[in-house]
Amino acid sequence: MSLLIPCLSPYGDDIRGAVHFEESNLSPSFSHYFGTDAAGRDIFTLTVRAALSSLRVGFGVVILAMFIGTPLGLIAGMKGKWIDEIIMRIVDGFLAFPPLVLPLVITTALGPSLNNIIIGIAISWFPWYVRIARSQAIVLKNQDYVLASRSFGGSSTHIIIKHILPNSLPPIIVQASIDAGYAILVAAGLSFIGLGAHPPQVEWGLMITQARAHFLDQWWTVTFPGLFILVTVVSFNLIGDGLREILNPNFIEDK
Amino acid sequence: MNSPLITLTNISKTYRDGKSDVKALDNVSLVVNKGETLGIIGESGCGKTTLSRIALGILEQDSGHIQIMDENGNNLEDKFYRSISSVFQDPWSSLNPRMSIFNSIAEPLVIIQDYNSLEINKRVNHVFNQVQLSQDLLKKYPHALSGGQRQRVAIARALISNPKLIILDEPTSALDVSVQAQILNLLKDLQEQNDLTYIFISHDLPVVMYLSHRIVVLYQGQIVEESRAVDLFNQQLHPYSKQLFSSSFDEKQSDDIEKINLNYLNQKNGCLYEPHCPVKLSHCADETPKLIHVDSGRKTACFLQPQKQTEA
Amino acid sequence: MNRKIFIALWYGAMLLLLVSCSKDHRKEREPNTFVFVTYDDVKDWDPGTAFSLEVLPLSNMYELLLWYDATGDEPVFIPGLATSYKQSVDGRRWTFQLRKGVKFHDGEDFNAESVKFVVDRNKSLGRGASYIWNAVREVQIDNTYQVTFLLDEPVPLDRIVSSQYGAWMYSPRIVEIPKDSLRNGYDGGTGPYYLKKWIRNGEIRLEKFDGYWRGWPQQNYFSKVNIRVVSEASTRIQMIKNNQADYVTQIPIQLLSSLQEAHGVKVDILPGWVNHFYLLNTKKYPTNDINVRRAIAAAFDRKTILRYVYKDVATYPVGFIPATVPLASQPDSLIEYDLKYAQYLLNEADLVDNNPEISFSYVSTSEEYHLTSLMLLDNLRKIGIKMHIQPGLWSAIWERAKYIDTAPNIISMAWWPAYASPSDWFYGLYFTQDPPLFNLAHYSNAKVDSLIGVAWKNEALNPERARKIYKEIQNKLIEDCVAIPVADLQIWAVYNENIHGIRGNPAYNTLLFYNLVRSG
Repeated sequence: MSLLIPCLSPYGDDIRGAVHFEESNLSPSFSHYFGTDAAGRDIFTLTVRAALSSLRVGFGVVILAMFIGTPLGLIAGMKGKWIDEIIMRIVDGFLAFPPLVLPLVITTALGPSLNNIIIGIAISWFPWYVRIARSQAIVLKNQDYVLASRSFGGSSTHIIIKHILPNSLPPIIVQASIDAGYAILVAAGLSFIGLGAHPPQVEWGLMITQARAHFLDQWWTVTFPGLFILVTVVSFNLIGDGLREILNPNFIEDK
Repeated sequence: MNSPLITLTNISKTYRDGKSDVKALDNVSLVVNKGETLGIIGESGCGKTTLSRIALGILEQDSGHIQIMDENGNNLEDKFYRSISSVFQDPWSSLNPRMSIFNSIAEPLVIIQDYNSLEINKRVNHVFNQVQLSQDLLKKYPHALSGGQRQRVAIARALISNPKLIILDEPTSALDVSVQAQILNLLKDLQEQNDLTYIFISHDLPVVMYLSHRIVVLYQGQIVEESRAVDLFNQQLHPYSKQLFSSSFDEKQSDDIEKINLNYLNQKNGCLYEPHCPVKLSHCADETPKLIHVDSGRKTACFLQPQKQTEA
Repeated sequence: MNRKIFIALWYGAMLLLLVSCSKDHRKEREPNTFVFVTYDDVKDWDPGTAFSLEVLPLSNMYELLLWYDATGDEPVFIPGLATSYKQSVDGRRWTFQLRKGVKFHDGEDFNAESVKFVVDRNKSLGRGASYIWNAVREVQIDNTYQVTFLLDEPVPLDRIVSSQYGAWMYSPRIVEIPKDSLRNGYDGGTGPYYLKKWIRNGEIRLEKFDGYWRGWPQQNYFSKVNIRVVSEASTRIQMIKNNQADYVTQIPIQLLSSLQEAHGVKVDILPGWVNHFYLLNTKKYPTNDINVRRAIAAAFDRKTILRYVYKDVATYPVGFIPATVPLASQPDSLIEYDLKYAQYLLNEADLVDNNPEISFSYVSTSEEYHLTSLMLLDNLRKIGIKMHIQPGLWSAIWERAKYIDTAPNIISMAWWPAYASPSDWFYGLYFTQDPPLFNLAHYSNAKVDSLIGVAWKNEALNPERARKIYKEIQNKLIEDCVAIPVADLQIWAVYNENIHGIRGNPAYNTLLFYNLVRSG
């Protein structure tokens, strides 16, 4: 949808930072579906474009968190003993922080930018993936097909890649699709307090921040980006629910 | 025919979980000869599965050692994994649901890394024919197969590395009776075609009797009787074997024997079967009977048998 | 699945309910308490060094020898803790008669000793606005209630003692106060209010000082003042609309028109000596190149910003000094908005890369800076400069701007003088400083330094000469393109309509609560 901006809106320049102060704070109309902000930018154009940033955050965070968390969890679950102990203690350390504090600290330390927000959230969320992957590995490593593979002389790496990983992915993917929505929400929150995207980047949280002084007089400046956040987060949740059903092994067998 | 293929000597294994340690195997020694089928019977928890896993090399014994030799007496230690393979009990869980049938069967060869893809292809097709499955199943996933078909796939997988020995861990217990017979016949045919040795583990006596040449009776991690199948069927020397046979062929008693008996460490002196033994002697509770030769090729551990003979 | 949609709708409905309920929820408050809502807290309670927003509580807790009243056509001095003063013909001896019977909040008497103590201590601390005393060689105690200042240069001491920074008279017992107490809120003044309680980043509570020398009227005065820190502009707007505040600061100018229509709220535009401008870092790449700085200045669309962002509250700047400041002069010309010229200048610049990147820091609480940054971002993009926007709290961006490594290329600045003189801008902002305090352009020019000195010395006795030199300095600053003037600001007072007595005195960036009454 974001790629269609030139077709949808005559204000494509706005996403590169163009301002038109003579048209500031216009209410929604046929020429500006969602109205304009204090700098005269078309809110419809910006909101649609911001979806791209938000999707980037959503996918970026869960992919990164999965890439860090899943191998660690699988190794911990497979190897057990002191390796498990070390990995899980580290993970518990990360989980000891209140949910928003760690992304906040990391993003502050790395400097405010959208990419650093992705890194910040991913680092604080990967422990959940470690936990899921670990519990999956613990269950799966005693499955007969894993024992069979070991009896053929399959190495731990072979077993993790061929057996444990493919079978532990479904719950991880379900978690990821739900998390993607929350990542967008957290990123919007961090952008709201100035740690995320910066102009001329557009991002829903940033749009709301910039408009927050105006929202009582110009309701459209925060309403539309806010609605988009709401709809996106709910959508990701629904996708997660759907995936949970589709990826269920019983579902496969019933086919 | 009588050259030993695999020799297990004094294997012991204890599961420790802090509070209660369970002695799964206690000083078990046995020999499997080339070309024969050794049946191992016993109730759940008697150590059958532990024994098979130790023999497979996926579980490490606490003490004792395993030797595997070819007909010329050469040690096959370095080809251990190729020489032994296995078929598991549950065909639903022994195949990875996210791996195609072809990949599942080819997996042992992929692990061995000695074969190129062409050879693998050839080999898979060959064993697939041997287990009498149609080629179009190769591309499917396990959920599309019936239980019998899955077990055939598992057998094909066990055959693929051209092993000397296949450990069959209750390969038919999860199947319908009609399918059971087909699988048993298939196993028997394959043994003849491929000159295979089997260790057949089961608590299902008729099945064991059907397939096995020799039988070992395990009770709480100890061998209580070892005998040729025919001899055992005709006459059980150990009281436990007797009970096993009577309960197996008499449905009424089976509930009684199904309860899990675990050998808790240091819990008991003397014969482990003594509390349940209908014919116990006064010293059974204090002294442990040794596994001794009774007859040619027959051993048992019971004071009712003449104890003066030489130890096994 | 349906449950989630339901929950989402439920939250939406609750939000709407919340918004509609919060409207017109006017709360009854104590009539004798004045609630002032500002956007940032006091950082320094030491009256000798405080140099920023502290002027608000300080000017109500402390007093000056003289007050400078610039509300009328001609500025006049109003007696404060000094009842009268005279200066010698050569302007180097100033004698002040002090008010008798004045007591500090801590019980000490105010007298000549106190005056000498304050000037000596401020000079020796050498921080904040202590530079205002630079020309004072010695403070002589003539008797208990008379002091004479001996000056090295004939500077306008009456304006200096009425400075809003560095001239507050405080009790000598400050030396007995441990440093921690100074940091946690300190009060040693003679003013009408004393510090009752300070909750950091929350609230400053002042209460009337019963022993105040001017005395208190029978009724209708504010016995308590709460200065509350609320960083969110929309919250401040809600507070004044809902009668939870009597006075709010830093309201985005674009929103004033709607506030003017709000029930019970009054908006006054009062004269001010505050101006907004952007300092261009002269040491940091790529703005160390004069042509890059000029290109940025030429890309700065001042007219649009003034018209749509600052609206009626600001006037077009005549130079680096607000036009109404005494002795203000204007440079021959400013660099005006011309993108083609900007492009030309950028091509002239001697840069290692074709698409230079610059950084821009501004105080994030100001909507005006934010919108200005969007304008500049867009225009610089058009000429091929990529600008990174770094909004932040003043204390944070100020700290970073002091060091070349962390400094931005452009930084927003609002300036109001310690005392009424152009020298305050020039000395504070453009005089060579190492390390810099407010010279965040990292500008250093020996010629300008010496001109600032000469002009300052001539202010009292030869004001016309001083005015000419100030013009020369401004031309020099334009030539070097050290800063982009944006707006001469007036003060937009947004307050409860039942408050009376608010007068705009541009010399003090504060509100004196003693003068205020509530009607009805």
